[in-house]
Amino acid sequence: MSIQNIFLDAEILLDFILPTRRNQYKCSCQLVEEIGKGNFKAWSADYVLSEILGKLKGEQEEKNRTQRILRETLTEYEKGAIQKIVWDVKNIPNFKIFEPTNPITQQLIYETVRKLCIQTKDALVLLTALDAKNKLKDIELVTRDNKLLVRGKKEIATAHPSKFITNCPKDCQSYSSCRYRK
Amino acid sequence: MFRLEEFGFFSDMSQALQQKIDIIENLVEKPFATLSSEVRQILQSFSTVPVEKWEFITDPETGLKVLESKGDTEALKRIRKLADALLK
Repeated sequence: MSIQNIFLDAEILLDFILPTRRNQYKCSCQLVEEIGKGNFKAWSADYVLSEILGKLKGEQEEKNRTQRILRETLTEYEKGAIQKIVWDVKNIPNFKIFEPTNPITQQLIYETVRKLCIQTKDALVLLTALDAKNKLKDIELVTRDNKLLVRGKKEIATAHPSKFITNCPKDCQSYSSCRYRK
Repeated sequence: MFRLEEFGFFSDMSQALQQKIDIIENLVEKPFATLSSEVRQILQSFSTVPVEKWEFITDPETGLKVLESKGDTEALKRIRKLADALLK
């Protein structure tokens, strides 16, 4: 049996990285761990790494602001640690960051946003996933974004991370409010 | 007038003393002048983060251009550990 290909957006990876989100979205964490074990073959794009880098820097600055007196800049140690996290994301086994074969132009993004009424960053994710679909055929876009899950289905198969786990953990903080729970 | 140079012993002493003074003066003016390149590299490593080169390679299975990855099994553990140390 061949291993299933999945395309991840930044949110799934951030759910695994950020300590505050790990208990909130346990399905994403379990999925990333399954990828590491080799049960799925995951794909993503390089701008997803940029998104992770930006989010981590923002989170760190936010933490510094609440814990220290008005310090807006990060230390060399903090910057180095964030950079190391992104490098390690790149080095997760069975996780590949690919370059789209066809350039994703502004016009393409605009047309996708207009057609599907989704955010620009989601349109970029969708178009990259579609590019991967041309080569890999069976690939599913994994996201937690409700709009992208529903409207993206017109273009590519979409799935919530809970699809890839047998049962949702009961102690997951979003268990009661999640419409995709199992 | 008393001159040190007239006595050979004192003359050697004054020369040695002058040499030491010159070395100290050089150090004060150029503190890193006598440091070797290796020591300078170590000093720089404390203040700068080494930048890893990111290269796209052709994936043999799919033919897609992918970022070079080490496929490190410990990567997930390290991510959690680092994120905990930083953001928890």
